[in-house]
Amino acid sequence: MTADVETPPSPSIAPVPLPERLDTATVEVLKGLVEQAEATDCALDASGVAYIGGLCLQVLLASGRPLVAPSEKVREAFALFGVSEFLSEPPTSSSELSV
Amino acid sequence: MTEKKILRVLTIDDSRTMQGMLRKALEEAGYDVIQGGDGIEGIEVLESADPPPNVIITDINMPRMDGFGVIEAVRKMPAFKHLPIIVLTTESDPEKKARARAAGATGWIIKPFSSDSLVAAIRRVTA
Amino acid sequence: MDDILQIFFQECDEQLQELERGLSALSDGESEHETVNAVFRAVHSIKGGAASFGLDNLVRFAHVFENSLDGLRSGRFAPTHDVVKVFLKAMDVLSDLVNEARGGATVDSARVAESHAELADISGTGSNQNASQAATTEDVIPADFSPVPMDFEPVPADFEPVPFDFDFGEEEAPPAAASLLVTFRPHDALYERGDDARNILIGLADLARECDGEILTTCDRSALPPLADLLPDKSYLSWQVVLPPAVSEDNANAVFDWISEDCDFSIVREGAEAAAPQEPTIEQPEPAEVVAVIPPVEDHEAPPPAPTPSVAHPVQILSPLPAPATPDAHPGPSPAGSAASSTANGAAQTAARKPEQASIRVDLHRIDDLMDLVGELVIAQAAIESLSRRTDAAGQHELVQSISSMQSLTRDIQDAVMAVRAQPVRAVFQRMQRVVREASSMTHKDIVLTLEGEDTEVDRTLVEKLTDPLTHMLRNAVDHGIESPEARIAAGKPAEGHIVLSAEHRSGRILITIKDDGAGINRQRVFETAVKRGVIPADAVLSDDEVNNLIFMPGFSTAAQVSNLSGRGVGMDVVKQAIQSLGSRITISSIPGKGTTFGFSLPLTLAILDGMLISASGSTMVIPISSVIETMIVNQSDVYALPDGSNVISIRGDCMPLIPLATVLKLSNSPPPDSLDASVILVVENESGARAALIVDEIRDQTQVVIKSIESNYRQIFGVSAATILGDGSVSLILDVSALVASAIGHIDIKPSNIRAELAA
Repeated sequence: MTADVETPPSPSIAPVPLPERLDTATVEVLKGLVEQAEATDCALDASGVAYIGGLCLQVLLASGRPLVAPSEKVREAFALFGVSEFLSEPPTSSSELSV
Repeated sequence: MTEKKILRVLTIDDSRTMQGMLRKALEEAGYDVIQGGDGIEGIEVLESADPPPNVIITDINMPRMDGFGVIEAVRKMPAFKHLPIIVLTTESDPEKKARARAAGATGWIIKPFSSDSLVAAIRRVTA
Repeated sequence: MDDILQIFFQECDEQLQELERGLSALSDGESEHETVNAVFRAVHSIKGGAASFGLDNLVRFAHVFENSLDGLRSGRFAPTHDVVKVFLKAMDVLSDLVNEARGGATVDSARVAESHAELADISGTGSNQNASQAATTEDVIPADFSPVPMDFEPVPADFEPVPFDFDFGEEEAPPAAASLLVTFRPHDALYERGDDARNILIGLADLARECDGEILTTCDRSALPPLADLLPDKSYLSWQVVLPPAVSEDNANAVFDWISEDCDFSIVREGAEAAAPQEPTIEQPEPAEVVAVIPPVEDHEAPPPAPTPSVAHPVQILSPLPAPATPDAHPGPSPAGSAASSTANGAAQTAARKPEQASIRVDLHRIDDLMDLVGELVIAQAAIESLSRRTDAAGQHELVQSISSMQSLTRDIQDAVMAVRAQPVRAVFQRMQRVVREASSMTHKDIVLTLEGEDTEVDRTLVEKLTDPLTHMLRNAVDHGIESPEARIAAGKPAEGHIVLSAEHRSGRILITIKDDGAGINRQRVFETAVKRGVIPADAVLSDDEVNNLIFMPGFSTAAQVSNLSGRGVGMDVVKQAIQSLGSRITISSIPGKGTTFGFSLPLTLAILDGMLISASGSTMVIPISSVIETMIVNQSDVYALPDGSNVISIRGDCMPLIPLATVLKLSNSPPPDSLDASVILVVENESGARAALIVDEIRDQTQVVIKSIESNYRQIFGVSAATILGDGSVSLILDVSALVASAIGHIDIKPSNIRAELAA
């Protein structure tokens, strides 16, 4: 099933659920998931995430995919890393980041 | 806040006293504890653990395989090369510390430890 | 906490044993690296545990000891005779300090100080260039090694954060006026060692929280490539963190202490010049970019409890073992397959004088074996149950078969349980090193104790009961057996005396011998002393063995001057009783000028034995199978009458006394029949190989019996070691073969050299 790249993240396509622990050991897996999300232009479901490490944060920040329903833990982690605005601001569909 | 995941700690020490203390302190702090009686056994426990531990606490001075051996072995295992390893020992000399660091230890804590300092050290590498 | 303390003390005992073993090996000239390591580890481990419990005295001494051993380990000095001697002495002090910590007697501080000084001396003299340094470090416990008693208060949800220097000890610096600016960029290596930028941030946040402040964190993403170009293992981000003024540079530095090589960082007091120039710093983003305020982190505390206990390797069985006062209540050990004891003389009827350790360590595989067998037992029981409902002949036959396989299973389980209770005699033997060491230093003799067969296993209740008698016997050997160095040299012997303590399996029993190379028993003096003390009349005519055995008479002491070692009211008579209560008797053999050997044998178990059911004069009795060599029918032409009315029988050229059992036990008043032709005899042997032939009416069966003490229920009877209850409910006596053989060869002296030793009863 392939979605049209033109449309913004549509509710019809389920967001890609992310693993619970995004630690160093998971970074390759996460990169794969994010690339898949980018290919299908869907969001990332961060509701089940309890831990985010530095390397996984890089992947999330580099992709710019929107995080859906971030858990409390995710909000805390982003605050800790000093990147809270990345959660609150609706990200652009482009993968370029506005700093 | 969703339900918290229970973190699993593997402790490797040849002293049953120390193992008892670690277990007690860690379980009271809510961790799931698995243990190995020396380096060799520790690695065996690690390999067969399901789920795998989130952090290893290892003694340095042990028969059969010492703590340096444990760190080196774990760092060579693809599944665990990033696993935090805290070295726990009474040895406080800088040379040992440097060796443990070079081998790839994530942290260092000195025996005797207080319950709080132990938990804090684990938190530091797993929280 | 108490349970861990118990484990600690238990482990101390093991470590002290390990230490003893290692030091013994060193004194034997072995200097393997692993031996030295093991010795070091033992002390190290005791120190570590003691520190956790705040046992200051123990920690302090163990620390000095450990330092000295480290000198040995690192080759600063060699394990010379004198060095090992100091270590041995220190080990005794350490052992006493452990005992003190356990609530035992307080250790004389002068002794501790003396040993302390000797240890410091060793490491001091060992290296010239390090002498002064060693001397100072020896005495001073490093600041980071003050004992921290572990308190197990439940960790409060908002527990006090600890600065993340893994050394935990620094105090906060006085508040400074300006905020602290920390910038850092982790290297890839930081992640490779399992660490994370996140951990650094948490460390810094905790520092701030300690001062009731918060951190302002800015993330610099300028180096971050688009996802397509991103290498997942590479570190791209860097951070700037503003810490409250109250946070000291030192504490901030400590966060990076462990990882200083895996992370570029700088710590600068705002407004001040670079206060702590570290590595070349990264470009600092302007503070204006601050976008996130970290609230005090709340749910980084530990996850909820759900412990799943894991199985540690040697399984700890922590169940109180029954006191040995009821010997029939528990099975004893016997290495699988081997027969049980011969004379379990009144199986351990003496009540325990001191509390025995209530737990044992057992190899996991022994428990597993037992578990397997129990599993089979359950299956066998189910089979019998279903077979018992069948009424046909085939069913009956199978039932009989099942029951017999159940029998062998029961026996296997019995063996397995015994194996669980079996322990090597090492623990007790090694304790004897100290006994000899102390005794020889009190008597100013130089004596080496050699241990043999320490791995021999025996029921744990027996192991523990060996301590007291062995202690007395060894003290006796040091005090009376080995001569003074001058006397030894005069006699052309080396000044250093030797004692060998050995254990070995011998015909279903454990033979323990204590052999010294001293002067041997001075029978003349023993005799004179016994006369002087009124133990025997002056005109008594005694054989050499009878004289030897006089030393076991109550109140006997041969030392010309009562030394403060043996002359403390505990004589060899007590030893004899103790050994007897273990179902054995002491044998002595002594060669003038060459030395004395004490020996005694122990049953493997105090509870069960394999016996042969015989009858004599209408009574059914049990003879331990382990002492039966063969059974046969007498041919009258092999029997020779002796002038005293007794008979000997020649079996394949071997002469041995014939014992008419019924007569000897006074079961029948009628004199033995004139012709012994066609009588049934059992050739029996005692533990040292002396044989006799027992005449019985009939051999009935072979069976396993549970030993019941006859002494605790009635009194000691000649020729009987214990009683048992047979399958039909009748009470039967178990014969004491050793006593029967001894009494027979007491009458008929056929093998003087060999049998002398048997006259201990």
